Amino acid sequence: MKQRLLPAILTGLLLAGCNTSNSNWEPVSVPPGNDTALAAFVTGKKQLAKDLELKGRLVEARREWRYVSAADPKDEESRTHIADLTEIIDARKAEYLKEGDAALAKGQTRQAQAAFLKLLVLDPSDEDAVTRLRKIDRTLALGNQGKKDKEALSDYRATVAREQDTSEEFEAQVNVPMKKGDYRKVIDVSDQFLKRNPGSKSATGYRKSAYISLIDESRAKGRYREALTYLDTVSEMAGDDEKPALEEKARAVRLELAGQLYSQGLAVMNSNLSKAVEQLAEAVSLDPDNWRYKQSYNQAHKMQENLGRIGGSKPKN
Amino acid sequence: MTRTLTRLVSAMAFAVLAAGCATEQVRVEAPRDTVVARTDDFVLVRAGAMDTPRTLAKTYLNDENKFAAITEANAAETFTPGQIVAIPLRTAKAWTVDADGYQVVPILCYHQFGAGNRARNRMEVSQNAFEQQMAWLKDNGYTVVNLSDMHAFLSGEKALPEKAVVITIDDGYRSTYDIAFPILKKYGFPATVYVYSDFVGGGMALTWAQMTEMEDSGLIDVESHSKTHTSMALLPKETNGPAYKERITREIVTPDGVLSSKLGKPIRHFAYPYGDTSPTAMSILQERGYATATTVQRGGNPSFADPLILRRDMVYSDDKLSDFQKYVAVRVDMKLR
Repeated sequence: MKQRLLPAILTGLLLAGCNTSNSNWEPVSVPPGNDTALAAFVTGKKQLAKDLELKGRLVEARREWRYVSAADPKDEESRTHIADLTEIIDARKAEYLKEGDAALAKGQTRQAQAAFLKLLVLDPSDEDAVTRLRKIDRTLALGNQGKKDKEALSDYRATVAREQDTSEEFEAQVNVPMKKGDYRKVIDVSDQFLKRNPGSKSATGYRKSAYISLIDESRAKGRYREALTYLDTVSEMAGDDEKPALEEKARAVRLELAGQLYSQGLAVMNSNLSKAVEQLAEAVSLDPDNWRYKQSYNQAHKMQENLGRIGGSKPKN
Repeated sequence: MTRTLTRLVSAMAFAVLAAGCATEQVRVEAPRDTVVARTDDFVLVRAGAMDTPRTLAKTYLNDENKFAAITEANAAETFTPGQIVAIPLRTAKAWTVDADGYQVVPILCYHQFGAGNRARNRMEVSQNAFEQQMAWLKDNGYTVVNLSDMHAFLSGEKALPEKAVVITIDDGYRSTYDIAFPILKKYGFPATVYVYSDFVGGGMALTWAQMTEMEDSGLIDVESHSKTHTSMALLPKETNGPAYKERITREIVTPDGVLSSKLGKPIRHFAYPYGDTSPTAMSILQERGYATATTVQRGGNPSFADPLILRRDMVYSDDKLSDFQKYVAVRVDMKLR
């Protein structure tokens, strides 16, 4: 043991008189009296602990005494202070907790809050205090739901209602064209209103309904491309929950357009072959699983190629 | 043999160290720190020549960014070789409560902005007023923090600067991008923009491209303000049953999905429309892992505030600078010892 300590003691002694050099040393475990760095640490921490005690910061003081005790396990003073402080801290914590809980039981939330805050000041790591303070804060906040800045909220509601819900003037302007089926007029009036009241749900709703009606109208008239354009517009306005239905609708319109293009392609096969090829190709792209479209497109395409080879010229339009 | 070797080592060590004392020219390899004592709560080490709070934090706390715990425990930012250093192994929570009161963090709530001096209603703060308010924050030493910092503060994980404030903007009006964003960029202030998903892309609302651009700036955090901007509290004819829960769930879940997929990030913060909430709404937000949710009840937020019912101060067009200054109070004084 002596042999192992010897180099360390020598090192410690040298270090004590040599503050500035980058000296080398071995791990030491020597009494603070023989180790100036350790002695300085112990002295500094003791002073700090006493200062903290005087300021009433007992938990922090105890922490400093614990450092002292670990650095110098034989130090009696630190052990005494740790024991005394622990006793005082535990007693005060119990007292604050009891006081807070009693106030809470009587519905005296402010008093309870003060008691738990005192507990938290005493011991910043006390989770019981934080849990109770948070519960009080939540209760106060929920209880104050009706006591919000009433004037402000009334203004807020009025603003939102004005901008997002309805306007008699707007309703009056939009109702008649809606009933008459003048959907473009409805869109126009809604757009104007939305410029002034960007969040208006009512106007957004009317606008969306008008576009949906235009989709149906266009489909009924066989104007499928137009219907698809309207569908794109509605999709931009739609919420996520509406999107699957709109996608399904768009798929149906694409199939209808494919059927229309197929019929048109067949109808112009003899008179305008390149147009027929173009229309059949688009029908295939819109409904790739339809074998009839594919077959007709292949035939038309082949005819076009053959004509090109024979005549060296494009088919007559 | 062993005794001889030990003597030799001692003599060599003595010679080397003595030489170092005499000339201060001899440089030896930087020694590592060594443990003096260890408990479950802390470790005492003798600092090596190259040790700093960061190197010690890396060695003993597995994270050099936790160095503040070491500087605080030793009231020092540098160490001399051989100095005994206390390293707390358990990070103390920062509840920012002291004997004279506690810190509160105000959250400002804006809605719309009008160009120049324009303010068409109480909810529309003029560009000039907003600029003046931001300049005042800067000139008066406020640090604008984001809601993630706020969440860390509420968890006791992070202390915020004494004058910390959060800026939020509700609804997602286009004026957020046109007017507020350039001013926020000018001052380098972060802000949270709460949007309700049904509003996006309509009329004068923000577009996805604008929101993405603001997010990419690193200053703006786009978060949820429900689907349709309906109250989350029980409506007059509503009962607290499954239909109500379903409605509230839809108001929370739909924008969560839309915003996270469009913006490519998780949505973690929520603003209750009109500031109205209920235990049901709070419980759904908690289940879905939301970090914070804000109301419009006035007042600052202490570190022990419930993160799912935070207070905010709405800023109005007719507010004077003196009103604004009241909104950003950062301390509640109280004798607590």
